[in-house]
Amino acid sequence: MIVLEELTKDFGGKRAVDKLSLAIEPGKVTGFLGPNGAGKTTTMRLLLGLDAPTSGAALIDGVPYARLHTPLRTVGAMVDSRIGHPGQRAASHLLGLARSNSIPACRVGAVLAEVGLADAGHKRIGTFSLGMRQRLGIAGALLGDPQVLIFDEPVNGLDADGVVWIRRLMRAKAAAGATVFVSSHLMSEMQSTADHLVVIGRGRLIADDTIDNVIAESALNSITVATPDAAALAEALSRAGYSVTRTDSGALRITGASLEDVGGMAHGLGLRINELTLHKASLEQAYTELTSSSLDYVPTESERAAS
Amino acid sequence: MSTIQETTPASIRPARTRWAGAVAFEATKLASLRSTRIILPLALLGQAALAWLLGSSAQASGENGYDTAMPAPFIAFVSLQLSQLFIAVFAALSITSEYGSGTITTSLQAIPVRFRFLGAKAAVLGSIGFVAGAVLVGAGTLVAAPAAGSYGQFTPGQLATAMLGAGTYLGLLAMMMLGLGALLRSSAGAVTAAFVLLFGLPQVLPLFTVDAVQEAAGYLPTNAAAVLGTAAEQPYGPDTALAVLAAWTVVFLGAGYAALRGRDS
Repeated sequence: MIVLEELTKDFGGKRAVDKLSLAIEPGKVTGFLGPNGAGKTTTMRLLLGLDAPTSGAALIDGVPYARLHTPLRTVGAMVDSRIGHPGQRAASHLLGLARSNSIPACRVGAVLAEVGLADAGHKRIGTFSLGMRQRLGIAGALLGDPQVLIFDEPVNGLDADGVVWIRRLMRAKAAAGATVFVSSHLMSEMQSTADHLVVIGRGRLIADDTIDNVIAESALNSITVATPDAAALAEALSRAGYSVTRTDSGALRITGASLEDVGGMAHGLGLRINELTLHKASLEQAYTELTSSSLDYVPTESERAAS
Repeated sequence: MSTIQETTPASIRPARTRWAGAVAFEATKLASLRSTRIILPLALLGQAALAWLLGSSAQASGENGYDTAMPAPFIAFVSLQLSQLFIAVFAALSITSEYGSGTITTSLQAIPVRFRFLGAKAAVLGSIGFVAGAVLVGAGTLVAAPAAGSYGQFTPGQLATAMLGAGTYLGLLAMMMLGLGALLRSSAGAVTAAFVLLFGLPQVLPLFTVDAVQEAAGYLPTNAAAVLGTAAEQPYGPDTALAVLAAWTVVFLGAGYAALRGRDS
């Protein structure tokens, strides 16, 4: 269980994390989303006691990270892919971590095998690719068999197999009761991995809800309705306060209304309906909408047009 | 890889375990690093070379009628002025390389209490420095004694003084450099600072004609070490020398700890 209480962090005069309050529950994968610079990594570093909060608190199982008795046995985290000393061998890096937290040394071989580095344990970390380093970081996180996992952008540098692997790993850990807190800017990745979403922008909480609810509440959900008398329906819908546009095929596209609203209104007017479809926003769209107002760098109109 | 198979004893008390764990963490890292296997032998090589040079020079000068006779262990101690740099750099790099490689993040996740993290490092590096000092002077004596011949005769007591003095000095120097490394967080910066402290200031300060500066130069770590390792009584005794070195260590380690605790990692 991870709890943030009004967590705030200033760097110089700039506020990176702004009164963030959250409870991240066990048994779920909680996705942590936000545009670059939103404060995701800073929040995770505060959680691990790497940075000190300006005010507020970040607690794991009720205490700050530094108060955990053997932290690696409670929390497994990877917030920096620059893992280990380049001149050190992967297995000895893990062995040092194991010894530091009274973790049986036999776990070293076990986690190396678990992350697919069984044959690379004797290699120096400096020779590792980014993907291998990422796997080594995850091996370090799993070493103490912790009940809380914190990963910052874990899929960076992983190949397609690796992405599937880490997704399965996180799902399996959550199913076994672990608290899994994972940041990403890849919305599609979260859609298939996370149960719950925390979205932040400019250090502030924007959304804290299940994936389904985040999508359901998106203003980008729309309804397409095709009727022979589109003009009459459009007028009625507009009068009722919904936003209506005409598609190229002559159908109407309505936002802000439910299927029942549109169907009922057509029925009331005695109109024949040829098509009535709900278009759910993708998580990507819902997210873009949520965060567009909090972007640090908003593209100008000309940049938008160019892309 | 055979070390991986061993198991952790379960009977150790928790409070001790965490310190022991932090010490084991640092020792495991240093033992497996390639830089350890390069820097420490280089220190020994440098020590042997300079001890031989100084020993031969003592004999040559002595044969030409100059009074340059000096106990071989003290020749070996003087030779530390080269090899100490390797130990100083080794100690500074033990923490600055963690910042350089980014692995400091992982280390502080394993040992989040900064006092224990730095304290365990200081214990390991201090021990390595102590053993290195004694070994370097012992090896230096083995080389200097035959080179100096009759101009390097010494008593067992002089050997013990030099070995113990060198061990104490390099143990404390390693801790000073660890503190400096924690403060500066940069390998280049820490190595530069080590050169200034161990080479630059001892050369430059005596050039000033101001008495206060000359006197202050006597309290530099290198000069205090010379008193300690050769049982000299000038400009102060070995007890004062030990206190001076300890004070330098407390100042540097304290500054490093304050930086580690106060700053974000």
